[in-house]
Amino acid sequence: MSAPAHQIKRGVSLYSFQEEYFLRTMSVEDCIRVAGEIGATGIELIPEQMIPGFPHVSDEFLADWSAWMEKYGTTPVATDLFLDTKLHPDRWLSQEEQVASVCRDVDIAVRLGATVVRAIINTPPEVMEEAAPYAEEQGVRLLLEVHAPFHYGHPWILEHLEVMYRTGSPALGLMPDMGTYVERFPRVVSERALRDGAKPELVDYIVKTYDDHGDTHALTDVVNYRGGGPVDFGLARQATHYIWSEPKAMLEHMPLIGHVQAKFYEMTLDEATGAEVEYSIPYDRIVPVFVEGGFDGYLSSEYEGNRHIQDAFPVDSVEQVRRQHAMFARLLGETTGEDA
Amino acid sequence: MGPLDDQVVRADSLTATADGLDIAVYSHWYRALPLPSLARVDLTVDGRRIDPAELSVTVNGTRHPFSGLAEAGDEYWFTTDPLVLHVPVETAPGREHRVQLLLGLSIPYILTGPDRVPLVAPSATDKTLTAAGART
Repeated sequence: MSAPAHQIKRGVSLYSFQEEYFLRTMSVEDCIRVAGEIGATGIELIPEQMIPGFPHVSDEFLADWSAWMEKYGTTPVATDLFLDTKLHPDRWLSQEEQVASVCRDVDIAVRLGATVVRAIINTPPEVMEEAAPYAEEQGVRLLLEVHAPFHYGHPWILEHLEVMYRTGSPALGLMPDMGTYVERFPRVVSERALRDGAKPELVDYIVKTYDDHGDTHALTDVVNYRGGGPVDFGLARQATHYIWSEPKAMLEHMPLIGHVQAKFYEMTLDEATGAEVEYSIPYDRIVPVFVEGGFDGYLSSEYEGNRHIQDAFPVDSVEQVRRQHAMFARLLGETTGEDA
Repeated sequence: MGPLDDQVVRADSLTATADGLDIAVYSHWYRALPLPSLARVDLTVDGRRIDPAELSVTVNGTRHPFSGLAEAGDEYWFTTDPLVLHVPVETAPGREHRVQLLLGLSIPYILTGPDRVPLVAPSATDKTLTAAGART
């Protein structure tokens, strides 16, 4: 198999290794090292997660960071910002404070050498607009994460698109999260619910409704009518938070797309071809959309399956990310032969 | 609440000091949180419920009264650093204590419901541990 010419690159968000990092079995350096070994060249970081002393980035950390990048053949690509609108228990963060928070995080990205900042989905459009000139001046793009259950026709995203197209700011854009392309309900999630005591018939009902792309709006009500408990209710609520939409909808906005959060829950082998695939998210149909649209940024791994299996199974995030990258390499035409 | 709760209070978390028991507590959330996020500390030591007003908390080398955390929004509790709860209970090196802790972290960017209330991510601990002597 050979993919058409493209400039798409492979990256890893170190968030993918949160389990190992949390358990102190992997340090920040280990995360970068394994990303490099997997063949990823771009590193995405959550500063709050991995920079001791956040929001201050010490010279010492910065020296280590640069040395690791050089040693492992990687480049800082993106940082992820959060907007703590309810930072203070007694009041909402003012718009001025929200903009200041975004600008602070732009400064952190600049210090780390990243040129992309993920603006979390709750960032208001007016905050993006007000922060854009500063980001532009600093040479950074603020990309709104398009995260499930949002999609390109949702009013919240439309408000953001209005700002992006009206201002034409080169500093503003989109960062699609591939959790918006969950075609099949992640089985790691439904199996966890069963282990937690969910009723098998309700789990089947929820999974089937989701997989048939049926109406999930009233799922939580139906679960209540059927005598479901908190675990069943939680699973139904989860089903309303995953979405499937047509990946080609991204083509219209491709010039705005600067980075991709390649969310995934479970790598598995395709029964027919033996190739690495994601159980829920059909990357085989998503990656070609980025190729067709001329996307030239990073597909940045975001493994999130750990939280669904950690109660019963050992978590091996490194192996999961390695397998996802084997899939990317195949879909990007980097490999020939056995798994193509 | 989940398996990572086990990491919140660890085998070496208790220290006997001159003014009581220090309990080192680790976050169960994946990013550093501003200090007002330490919204709920329901602590029971040896069966005695500790009023949060009796607690003080050391984070990043600074000791705060528990009520002062709400004002410390510029400071963060880092993911891999413990904070220390200073608990006014009598102890000594080598003494065992049963520590029950329901820790509720208020997540300031995940708002729920019509009142825009931050999600509270809980963890629950119930361990009997031995206090070490304070390092001098």
